[in-house]
Amino acid sequence: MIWPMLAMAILTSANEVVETPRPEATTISFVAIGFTGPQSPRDRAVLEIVMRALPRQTIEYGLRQIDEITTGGTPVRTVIMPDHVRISFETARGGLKVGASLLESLLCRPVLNQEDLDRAWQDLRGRNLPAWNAALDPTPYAWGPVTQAEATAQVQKLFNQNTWIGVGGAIQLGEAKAEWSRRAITWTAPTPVRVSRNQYPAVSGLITRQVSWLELQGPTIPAADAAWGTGLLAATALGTGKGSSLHRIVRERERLSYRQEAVLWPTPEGWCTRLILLQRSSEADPSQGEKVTALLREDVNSWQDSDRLRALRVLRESLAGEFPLGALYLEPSGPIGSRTADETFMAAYFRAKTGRTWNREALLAGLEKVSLDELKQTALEFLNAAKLIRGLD
Amino acid sequence: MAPLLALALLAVPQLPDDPPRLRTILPNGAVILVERMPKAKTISASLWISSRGTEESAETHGLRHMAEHLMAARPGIDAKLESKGSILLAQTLRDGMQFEVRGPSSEPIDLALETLFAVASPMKVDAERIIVEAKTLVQELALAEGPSLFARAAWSASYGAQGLDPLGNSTAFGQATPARLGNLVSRMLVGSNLVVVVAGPVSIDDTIAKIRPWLSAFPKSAPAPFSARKANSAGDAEVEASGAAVGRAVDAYNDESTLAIFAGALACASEVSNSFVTYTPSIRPGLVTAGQTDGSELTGKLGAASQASFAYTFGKPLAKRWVNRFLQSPSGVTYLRGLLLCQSSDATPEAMLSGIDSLNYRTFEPAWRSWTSPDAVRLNGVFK
Repeated sequence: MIWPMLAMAILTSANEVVETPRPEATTISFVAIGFTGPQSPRDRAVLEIVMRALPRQTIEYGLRQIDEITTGGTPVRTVIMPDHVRISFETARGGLKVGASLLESLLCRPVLNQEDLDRAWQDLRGRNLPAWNAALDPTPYAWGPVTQAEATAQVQKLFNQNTWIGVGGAIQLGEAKAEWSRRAITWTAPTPVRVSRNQYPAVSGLITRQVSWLELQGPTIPAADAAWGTGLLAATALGTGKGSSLHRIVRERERLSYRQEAVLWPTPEGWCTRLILLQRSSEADPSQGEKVTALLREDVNSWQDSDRLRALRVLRESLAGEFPLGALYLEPSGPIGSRTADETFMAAYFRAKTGRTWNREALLAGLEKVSLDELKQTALEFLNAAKLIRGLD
Repeated sequence: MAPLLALALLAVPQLPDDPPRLRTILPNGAVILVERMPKAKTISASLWISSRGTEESAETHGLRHMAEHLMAARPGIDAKLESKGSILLAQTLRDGMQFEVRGPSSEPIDLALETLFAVASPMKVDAERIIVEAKTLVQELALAEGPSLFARAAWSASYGAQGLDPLGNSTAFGQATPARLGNLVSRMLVGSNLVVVVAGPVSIDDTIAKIRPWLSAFPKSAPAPFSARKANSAGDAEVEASGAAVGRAVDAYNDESTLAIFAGALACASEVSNSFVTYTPSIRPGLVTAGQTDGSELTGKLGAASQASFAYTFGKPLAKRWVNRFLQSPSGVTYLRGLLLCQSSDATPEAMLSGIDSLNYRTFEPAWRSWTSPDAVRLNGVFK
């Protein structure tokens, strides 16, 4: 009796699979999420290079075949955030088996040929990030060549039995879990690789001469903190939309910036509230940080219930994907949307990160009970604890 | 009688085989288009103001962009909209200016229309207000990114003074006065320059009835002609960005060669990371710019004989997808239909779609190869 049980332990894939059925959807979304910890400039550079080369070919599927599988859906896409890396794509309705096969192949058997890796790092090292992207993630990158062995070890480290899988859209409950389980993936432990001792210089992603940014960065909100939603609402009131404090005061009244937003940014430990202002470098002044903080504090103290209601409504529409701005940033340069692919990702990501189920309506219902005083207090606590960061060109 | 008539209009049910959209041309030349999208979760209402008679020139460069900022900045609008989950967006392009109100379909269309009416209402601007707004405009210019910098340089190289960037420059903003802005806005706001497009789960007849009285009140005037736009011989240009791009002057938006050049660029870009293709459909000669913000793999492939077959095979469906993507959302509808209508009441996205369908390899191939012709502008990013 022991042998069958042992066989099952070896053969059964241990990944958590979170399903998000949407019967009306015309596509099936797939996402794999690998969580990462703090990274050095070299770690980040290697990740970028590897994730650019990864979707080009697997042992089973070439580029054209990958395109064919995702025809009717969306192409393979990789996203790198400070706390995780994800691969996602969509197939047309009915593509559960082939989509699961492609996902397994991408995670377990990417080819990562040296030519693709070399092209990736040659292209990336000259990259000039858009100013907003650079302000959001000012990590420098230590670009340099990556060997196939290094790249393979990186993928094995990222994607393994701890990877969370999300499948959503035109599926029935239970189908995706059964399909993934049937695959019986045996994950390979990362192969020890001798990493080059070369020291590559760390360079900023922003090269333009014209733009600076100013940031007020709050302390981390732990992932498990159930009150993170109030932080999200306060961020919305402070900095999402033209009725927010940042837009009304900092841009329209003081003319200190053109783009300014409040962002709830993911970190390995949880989330961090950040108010970011992009401005022309020649307008930058070291005294602006204190001035902006004082102005915002004054505005928060004057908030009326109409400000609370505005923030609630903007947050509702933003989380529903119907508002072009939003504070919950889970894309490298913007908020998460509400397409099937986004909902599939959120369901898996939120469960993995917080241990709780993602439920937008329940979150909003809870936030409607946050009083104006509580909202003001949360915003003021942020402003009092925030540290000033300046990013110069 | 009017309230009874309004009630009668409201009471008329939308029959299943009613056309999905209705275009109405008013006696003063203004155009209303309402497109019914019953399953949409949002509503979009856009006011388009054609640049006929007010195109960018050395004397007026940037004034339209300043006017856009001032018209959109009416007190109280934003807080009122956002408390209903809606937002006002605006942009200034070469052929027109767009003000769009976008919001959830659970809200009635009335607030969106009121906002557009307010945007186009008379405004008093003093010199101090202009100076203050110029500060924000200059900030906006500084934030221009790689793709738009490459496109701007390509327009300048290809069309010279006829290709002035509508965003303007700091010198031009410094020359703005209340009188010049007032004169510009009064020339903009004539019937033949105005288009209102609404899309979403709305009643076509009811919506037209709400817009008609307001839009009819603008003065009637013969449409000013668009100035002729002719591409010059180009050459290379350097851009303060990283990466590389190629700009290709094209004919009208529905011309066979334009669509082939555009489709080919889309196909090429689909294979290359961090690539971009920019094109704003115009009834006049325009420009397609294609490039990458890191590396130059794309520019090496554009127009290559070895890529022609691939570009044709994949370019056609990609170009159709590009057009159809706009037509699938209310916001996309009010953008693309409005952009074309503000240039000509007969211009439609369907003309692009049928043009793409009728492309064959014989007509595609020479257009594809023209990416490598001396007429194309090669743009090199100076940041390495």
